[in-house]
Amino acid sequence: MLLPWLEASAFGKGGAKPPLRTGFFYLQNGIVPDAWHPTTEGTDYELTPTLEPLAPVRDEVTVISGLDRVFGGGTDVHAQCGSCWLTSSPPDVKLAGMLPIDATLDQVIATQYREETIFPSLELTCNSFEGDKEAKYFRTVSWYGPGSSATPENNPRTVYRRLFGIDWADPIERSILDVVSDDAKTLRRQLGALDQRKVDEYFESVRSIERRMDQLEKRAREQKDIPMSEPAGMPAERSAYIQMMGDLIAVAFQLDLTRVATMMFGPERWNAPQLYDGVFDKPQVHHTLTHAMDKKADALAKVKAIDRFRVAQFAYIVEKLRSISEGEGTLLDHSVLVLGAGLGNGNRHNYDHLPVVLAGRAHGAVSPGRFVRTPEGTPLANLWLSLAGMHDVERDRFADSTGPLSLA
Amino acid sequence: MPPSNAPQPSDAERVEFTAAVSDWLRSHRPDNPAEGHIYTRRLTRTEYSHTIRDLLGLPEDPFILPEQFARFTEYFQPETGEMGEMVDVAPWQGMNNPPLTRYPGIATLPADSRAEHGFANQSDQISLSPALLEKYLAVAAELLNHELFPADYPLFATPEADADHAARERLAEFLPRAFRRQVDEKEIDRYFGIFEKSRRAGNDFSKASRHMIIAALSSPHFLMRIEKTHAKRGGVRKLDGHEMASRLSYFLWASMPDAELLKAANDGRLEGRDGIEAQVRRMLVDRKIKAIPEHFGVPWMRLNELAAVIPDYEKFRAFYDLNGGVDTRRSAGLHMMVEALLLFETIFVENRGVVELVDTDFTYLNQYLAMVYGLEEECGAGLDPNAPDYERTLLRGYVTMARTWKRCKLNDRTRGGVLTLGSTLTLTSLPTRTSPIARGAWVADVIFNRPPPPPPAEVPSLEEQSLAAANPRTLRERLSQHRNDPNCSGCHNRIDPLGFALQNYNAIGQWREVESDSGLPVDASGKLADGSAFDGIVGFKDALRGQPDLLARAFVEQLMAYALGRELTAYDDPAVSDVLEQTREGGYRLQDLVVAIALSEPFGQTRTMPAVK
Repeated sequence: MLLPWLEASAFGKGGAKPPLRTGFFYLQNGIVPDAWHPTTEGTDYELTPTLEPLAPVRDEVTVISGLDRVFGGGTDVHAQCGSCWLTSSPPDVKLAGMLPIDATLDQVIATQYREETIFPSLELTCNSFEGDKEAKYFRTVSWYGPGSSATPENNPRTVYRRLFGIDWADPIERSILDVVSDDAKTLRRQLGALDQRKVDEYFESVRSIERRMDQLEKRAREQKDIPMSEPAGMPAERSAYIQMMGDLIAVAFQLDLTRVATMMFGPERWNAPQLYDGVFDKPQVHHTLTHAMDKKADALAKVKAIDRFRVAQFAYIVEKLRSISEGEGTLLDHSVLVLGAGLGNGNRHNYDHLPVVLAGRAHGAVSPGRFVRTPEGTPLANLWLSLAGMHDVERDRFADSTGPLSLA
Repeated sequence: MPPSNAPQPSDAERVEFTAAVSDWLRSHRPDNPAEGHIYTRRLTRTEYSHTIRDLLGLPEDPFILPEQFARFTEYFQPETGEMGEMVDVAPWQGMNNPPLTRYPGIATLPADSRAEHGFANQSDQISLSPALLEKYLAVAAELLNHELFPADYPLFATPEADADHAARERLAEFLPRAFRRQVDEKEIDRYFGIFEKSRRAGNDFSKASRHMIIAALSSPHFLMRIEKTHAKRGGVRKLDGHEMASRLSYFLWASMPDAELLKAANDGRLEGRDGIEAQVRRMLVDRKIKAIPEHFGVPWMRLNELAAVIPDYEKFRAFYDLNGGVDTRRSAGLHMMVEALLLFETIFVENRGVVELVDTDFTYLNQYLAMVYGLEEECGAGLDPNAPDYERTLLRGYVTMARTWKRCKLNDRTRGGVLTLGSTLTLTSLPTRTSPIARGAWVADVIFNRPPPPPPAEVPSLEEQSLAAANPRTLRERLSQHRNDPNCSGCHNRIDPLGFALQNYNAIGQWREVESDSGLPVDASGKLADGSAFDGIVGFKDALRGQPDLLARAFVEQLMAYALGRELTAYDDPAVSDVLEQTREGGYRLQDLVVAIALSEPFGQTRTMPAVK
């Protein structure tokens, strides 16, 4: 049974103020800094070779360079790149073994909208591999708390069916949830503190499904078309794969199914070859190339080309949100998207001088169309604190932040 | 410790010291309750697949997982205690593909990541998100509404008379099996309530029964592995019969207890060592014991990493040209995986000792691997090099290849054991050359269970070299910075020699006397951490054979971590020693190790602690 939805955005002209949407797009294995960071601050900055694909959306993006993270040590240098990119834990507070993992920004924001959207958040990844070569620290940027990770979805078709299909229309299934949810409550009393937390994950998950069903009942309207057709599966070409995931985020925002999403371009450190269509005719192993780029000119050229390719996909997503009209403007005007990497330099594995590109105006909280270089030593977490504030999350501090970043 | 140039304690002093530490560990518990705790957690995808198969009586697992890459499993007959002279097996497809559902129309579950140096069943790493729970629930609904369970399936078939009573009876029989413990009337009532609600909503008997069972499969009592860990005052307690039954069945079979094991629990026969051992010995010769080679052996050998290595076609054509034509789907990699699996399974089924995993006198080969290793003359008899021996199967058109495997008696020790498997040697190499560091790290991790710490953040890459270089140096010479720079040597003096021992094998595991990118002869000499020197693989194997205790300890630590579903702590050291003590005389036979672990103290108890209101 496909759900009925309103035409175009859920928010027409002259209606309620559209909510703020936030998307995080994570680049694995770092970037080539020389080809990425512009030099002239302000609105007249030059688009560098890597950022050149942003030209058509130049007025919508804010390039921010110079933000820093701290590598907390004690683990493989890649393990904290993605897993701690959005973490609310300061780098020296190690809540999950040697990793400073706590609830990530997307989940902190999602908690604000739990009662309002069908999906508190959406976690996607363009990782076509199911094999378990790497531990989960490399495969997800989204965490509910220490040790408790979101499971990003990698199949566009599954995402689509989850967003629009409904396997739980059957009222009996609601009764089932009642019974099992009671079971979880009773079970809890037989467990010690550490195990209660694990059952709480189950209980919270059931609650989340129940809330979703409540939302669906509240919002059922007459039959309407979904603005996107069902994907066939995982495309072999990187560009099609990434763009399809971008489309899904766009349509989920458009129909207010969720207000926060994360997408990984790929898992951190993974050594599998990928086909960057239109750029190379053979599959390339990005991670291995990043470690050859300081020694071999052709490896450096390849990594720069991959960076540019990834920025081009982001530009597509930005363009997509701009093309959806909403309220008095576009979906992009009411959103803020963040493109960033966990490493400043893919070979040197440094966590400072990170690349960040924002897109969107966030209802005026962001003034795009310029390049900002932050003062030396500004924490990345200052940006996160600002974004949290835009969603009315009341916090003085986020991870190791020293204050909000001025974006307007 | 102490440094090699300082005075050393005597053997007697070492023994006394170790015993004192061991005694202290035996009588103490960690202060932090999280240390060494086995968490309540959901069934892994693997466990779910096997449990569903057994609970619903399916002929096969609903999922085909990456580690179950061997199609045709009839060859696996643990009840005979032997692996045959000729084995009929072939791989499904490479491990870099998503798992298949065996029954079209049923969605798959995502993989559970391996812990950094552990197994996918490590309890503290297993979490549950709303999206993931939705998947488990959706799979249950899809399965039970699938044509696998037609209208006349016993659990759902409309009875002659007294439908409600029949439904409740069936539930009363089903629920204790599903929840892996005894259930009371109130619980049965609650789940029967779903049947009644469904009937009232207008559904027929079959549909309402399915709803009731879907509910049971959605319950945390089914989906999670539970031990009652609450106690006002924390401590340690012995497991009860049902908890022990579950631990045993998930250790040996990665699945739920069978009827006999459940009965043993109900009858109180799992309270003492004899009762437990009797069950374990029975389970060791059940076909379901394949779970140990698949879910322990395969990750233990790191076979899943083979998918990420694609040897350079130009340099290693032999890896691909298996039947006169090149097809990267039919590369030697798939065959190497089967060879590795057969090695582990044989040593397990034939109850051979742990040392044979490292040094043994046989392997299994098909005609392709015999060709890659250059063993056609030695082992080729009975394998026809010209027969393509593949067929297109009806099931989604998979090509199964070279099904005939022959047990090959090896004439020299350059082959035989996990170190010299094509899989080990290839997965530790780069596409164009070997990587002694990766190999050394593999040996340190897998064989010694002492994985090296992560490298520092800024490590310069190695300079590549070609044959045309003016002053060619061997790879070993080019890695000399590891030995000369004190920042590197601390770790690399331990890692590199283990990798250099294997330098006579190229990046696809073929024997070589000379390195191809320097033209210089291979230098495969080195020293183990205890000082024993070796030159080449045979010497290395001898050096390892000289330390059977060390090999056994490393293996037992890993098998115990798998059995418990948690990382071991220092406090588990005495238990590991006990296992070794009990199995030393028999030569650390693999099945005996399983029994000893099942009887060990950590396996038979759980930590309790107060609850949070």
